[in-house]
Amino acid sequence: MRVNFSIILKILMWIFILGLLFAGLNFILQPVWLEWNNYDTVHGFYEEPEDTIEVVFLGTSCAVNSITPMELYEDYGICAYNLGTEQQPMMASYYWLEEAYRKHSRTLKTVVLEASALRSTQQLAFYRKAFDGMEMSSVKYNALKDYADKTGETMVNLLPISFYHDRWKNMSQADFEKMYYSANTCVRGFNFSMLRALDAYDVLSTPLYFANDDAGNIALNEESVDYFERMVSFCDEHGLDLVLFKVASWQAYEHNAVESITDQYGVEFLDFTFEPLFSEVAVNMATDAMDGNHLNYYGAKKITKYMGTYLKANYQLKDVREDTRYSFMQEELNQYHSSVLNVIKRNNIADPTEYLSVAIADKDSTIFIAVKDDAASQLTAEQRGNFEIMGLSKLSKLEFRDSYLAVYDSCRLVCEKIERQESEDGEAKESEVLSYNGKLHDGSLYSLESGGMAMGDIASCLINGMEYAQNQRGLNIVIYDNKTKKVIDSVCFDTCASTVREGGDLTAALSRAEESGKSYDELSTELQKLYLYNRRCDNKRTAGYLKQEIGEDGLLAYLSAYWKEDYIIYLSVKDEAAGAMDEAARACLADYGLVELSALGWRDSYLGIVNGGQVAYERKDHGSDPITTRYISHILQSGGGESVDCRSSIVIDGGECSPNTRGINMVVYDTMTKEIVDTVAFDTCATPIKILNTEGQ
Amino acid sequence: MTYLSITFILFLAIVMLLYYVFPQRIRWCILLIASAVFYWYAGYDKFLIVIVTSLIVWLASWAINRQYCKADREIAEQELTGKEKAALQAKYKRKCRYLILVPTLCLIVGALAYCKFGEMLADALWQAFALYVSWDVIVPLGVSYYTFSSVGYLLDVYWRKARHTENYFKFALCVLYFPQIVQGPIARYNKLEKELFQEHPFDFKQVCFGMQLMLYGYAKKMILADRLALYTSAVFGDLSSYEGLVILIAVIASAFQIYMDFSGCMDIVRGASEIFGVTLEHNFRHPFFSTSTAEFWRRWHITLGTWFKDYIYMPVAVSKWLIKLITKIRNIFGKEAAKVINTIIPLLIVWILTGIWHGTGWNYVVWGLYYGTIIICSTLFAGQYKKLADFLHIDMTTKSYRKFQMIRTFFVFAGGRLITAPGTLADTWVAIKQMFGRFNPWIFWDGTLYGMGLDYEDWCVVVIGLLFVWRISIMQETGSVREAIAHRNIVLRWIIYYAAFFAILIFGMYGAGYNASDFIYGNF
Repeated sequence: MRVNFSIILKILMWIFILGLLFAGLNFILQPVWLEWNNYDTVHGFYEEPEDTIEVVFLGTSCAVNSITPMELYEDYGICAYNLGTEQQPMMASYYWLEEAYRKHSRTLKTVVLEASALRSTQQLAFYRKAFDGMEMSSVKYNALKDYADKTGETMVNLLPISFYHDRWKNMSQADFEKMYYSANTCVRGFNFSMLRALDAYDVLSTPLYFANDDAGNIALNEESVDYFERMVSFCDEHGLDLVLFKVASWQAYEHNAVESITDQYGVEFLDFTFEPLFSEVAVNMATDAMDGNHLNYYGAKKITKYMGTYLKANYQLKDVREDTRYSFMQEELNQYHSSVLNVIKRNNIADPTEYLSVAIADKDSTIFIAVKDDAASQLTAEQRGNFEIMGLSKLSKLEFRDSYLAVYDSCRLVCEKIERQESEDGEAKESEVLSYNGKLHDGSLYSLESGGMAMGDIASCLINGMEYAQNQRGLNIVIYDNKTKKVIDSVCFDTCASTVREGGDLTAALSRAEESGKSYDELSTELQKLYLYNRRCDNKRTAGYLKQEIGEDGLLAYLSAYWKEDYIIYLSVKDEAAGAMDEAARACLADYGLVELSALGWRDSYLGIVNGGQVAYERKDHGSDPITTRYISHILQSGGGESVDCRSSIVIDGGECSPNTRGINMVVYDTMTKEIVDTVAFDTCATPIKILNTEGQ
Repeated sequence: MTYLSITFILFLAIVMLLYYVFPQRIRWCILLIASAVFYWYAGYDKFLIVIVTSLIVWLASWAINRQYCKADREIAEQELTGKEKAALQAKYKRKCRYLILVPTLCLIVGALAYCKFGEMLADALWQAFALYVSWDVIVPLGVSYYTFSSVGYLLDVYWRKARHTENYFKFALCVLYFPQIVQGPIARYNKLEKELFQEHPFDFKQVCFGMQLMLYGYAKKMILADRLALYTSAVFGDLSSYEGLVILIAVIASAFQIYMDFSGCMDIVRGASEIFGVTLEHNFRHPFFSTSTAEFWRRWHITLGTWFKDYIYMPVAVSKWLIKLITKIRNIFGKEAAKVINTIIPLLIVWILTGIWHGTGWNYVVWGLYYGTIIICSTLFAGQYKKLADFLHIDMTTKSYRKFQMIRTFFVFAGGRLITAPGTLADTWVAIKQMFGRFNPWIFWDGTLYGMGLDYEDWCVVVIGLLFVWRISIMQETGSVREAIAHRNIVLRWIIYYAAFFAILIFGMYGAGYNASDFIYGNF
């Protein structure tokens, strides 16, 4: 066969162009995941100089949100990287460990793994999400091979184009803009968030505080355990230390299973979900977390601080701050300070005028302001004057329940509109919602809406169809960064209720308020919410502690714990409660003022109510009829052994709360939170009451 | 190894490389080995069956040929002519028929029947007599296609229309030739032999043309057929939940789906074959441009139609029993009645057999009768139809009337799909009831259509894709599209190639989490 070089050249050229187009298409079709910093995480990781990282953090979004490596560097001199990804399966954690070792084999010493993946089965999409950004190497090949074996897919089907080719229907502007995207890697895999669960949820669940050995063990995910074992072996083989940690919300039976596996493999285990570490780190899930599972910056700071101290104390990590090889870390730290800590500073600003003056001074930002309900009631003359100085003249003249919106773009007022709630003759107007539409520098379309209480009651800021305003009463402000093309802050100042907001650390603000002697009613809405949450947490912890530490003989310990202001203790006897009540116990009860109870006879019926440490009601009886009483809206009944209706009943808010077992049944009610704190029963017919020592418990 | 798999593409590339590296005289051996490997990949048991079948057919052909040679020798030795010669030939032919041809045909057609009806028979035995027969039916790849091809070859040898091939391996290649074994076209041995065993110097243009045809086939299958399949399977899979126009659209979509599926596969097959310089017969010639059902079937699955014409219709039409019957009818009822019967009987036989070939259920018999009836009526009433048109002053030569005829033919075809696509006759009845039970045009704008496997974007792809195929088909009617592209400058040409390639990559239905459906005609 005669060789025709022009044909060969043509074929090679054709294949080359095909390859280029193919690679380009692969790149475009592969999804962009910026919302969890994954894009930053992976790109940032590969931008790190090789053989520099000493500690890697792996795991799910819980890990991503819990550790900020930059602060480990700043405070402890540790060069760490957070390689967690959203719902990272243990398979992905394992291969990211291999990848981290491939790049940093000379320096990598400690691997800190977050435990969530052990308990759950991850969707296949999260495998892809974890693997897609990984550089092509034998590690990625093995990872994809394992994934293919798991899913039954062929390796060809794992090419991004094969996997994502039908994404064309859902591709957005961001998918095409990623080619111009410059990764902000200074967070080193940490997901920086200032969102607070307290703001996001009306009802927050409280932590469990105490593990329970009797809760049993959940069956852990087999695949996860398998890869966990491989991680243990890998670390052993390469002389790495492995630490397992867990944060946020875990059930006791899940905890037990994880604890047993760490015991089995002799892996260090840091448990931030239960006592004692939970209280030691002092994470408040209302202010230090964005939801029940993910910490925000404040929570991450606390965990990071503990982790830094722990790692420094237990592992041979060097302080890289003085090492010239790590000078790039200083640059990253500066960037971290300028981009992350500035947001924190802004978050600490309490005065809306100060906040706005800082925001509008940034030439790279567009600021959207919209009023909902009312924002005028608590505005001071000084604040109005400041608005006037900023050029927001209509805002300076805002009146009760007016609608108002404004747009500030690159230090220039683009639009300012106001709609009075009342016409000049004092009549209430029926107006439509105030609105304004425009285009940002990058071509993104926005739509701003404001409605006072009677004019729509709304504050909305849609950018490319996505809502960013908090839509709460007062001044809603959204800041869009024209450089990164992202919304960087969204806040609300409730200037209807308060001149300033509680910025920054709410826990500290609450402490200050309490120290200054402010009553509950004098607190701001946010602080009231936090106060109640903290109180519920205290109740939960107390109840948990008592349940764990105090046995069936602990009536006096319980009374002691709840014998205080704002708590009601309901006592109701069923059947027989005097059989094992000795004289010492009777004397103690008498000391508490529970005179009738201290004189309880064989098979007597008994009802007792203690409100705020004062005995409010007591009655005992030996008749055939049960005794009943109503307190506030709560209904109590006691039927002793001689009674025709031998039972205990404590009905609170329509629900039966009494354990209804033989002996003294107790229900504790918190009048502040309006919640039942504890329900317990003491079989004082058979078990003597334990006498407290002089120091109490 | 399906034609849609990466394995097939790699396999084809390797075979192509070997094919053109080796000298021309042994290239057919490369194709034979490649075909054997391809078939072996489907299962060694299936491979053995097809080898045994081809060996039986070849031996039968050899035996017939031997008898004919013997007859020729006797004729030459005895210098027989005229009636004596014919008598001797008839004697040997009879001997061949009863001793070789009929047993062989019974064997291979029986094997085909066993493959197609084995499980059905086992079910029937179980239902009728509670007799459990454990039949694990092995269905060789393309059993219908190579059986029909072999039957054709054997009959051609018997009728002395084709020569017996002395080399079994060459015959085996004609049977096994991997591009056509799965889904046809049904090979005519004498035509395929010429193509396979002539010299094939490397022709870059031909290789490119082959690849282009394959790309077009993949596009039809993966972008259109498999996309439409999502909608049709959703609707036909749950007929009682849908009604009115939803079902009508499913019937229409199903008509397009089967065309894109089958013709797409034929394009892949013919393109793959063209890479080796072997031009396979056309199986489709734009059937939706047909103005009558008869014409439609001359354009749709052409090799099956001509096979039935040559090996069923013609033998039946000239058979002694039919001629006797026609003569009797002519004597009793007259010439017109004889003509009618002469038209009806062969056509009905052909269409019932065509129906049975397509599937094993009763709906396929009804489907055959449906087409048989339509074609018979259109043949018998052609005169009346013309008179009616004249009476209504319809000009049957205008373009608009031609378009009407095309649409009418399309809906006749869609009617056929309504009989087979739902699955059973009972399902077809449900589909008809549901379809005519409600007029619901709002489905076009209230989003209903977008919730049954295909969303708005998918429908856009379907509509644009169909228009594109329609445009290409018009161009193909008047000339070669590939030639037209080849005459463009290199930039435009390459843009077209890349566009086609990436259109399949982006819009094709394949990849993780998606099981590409098999070709509809692949399990015959």
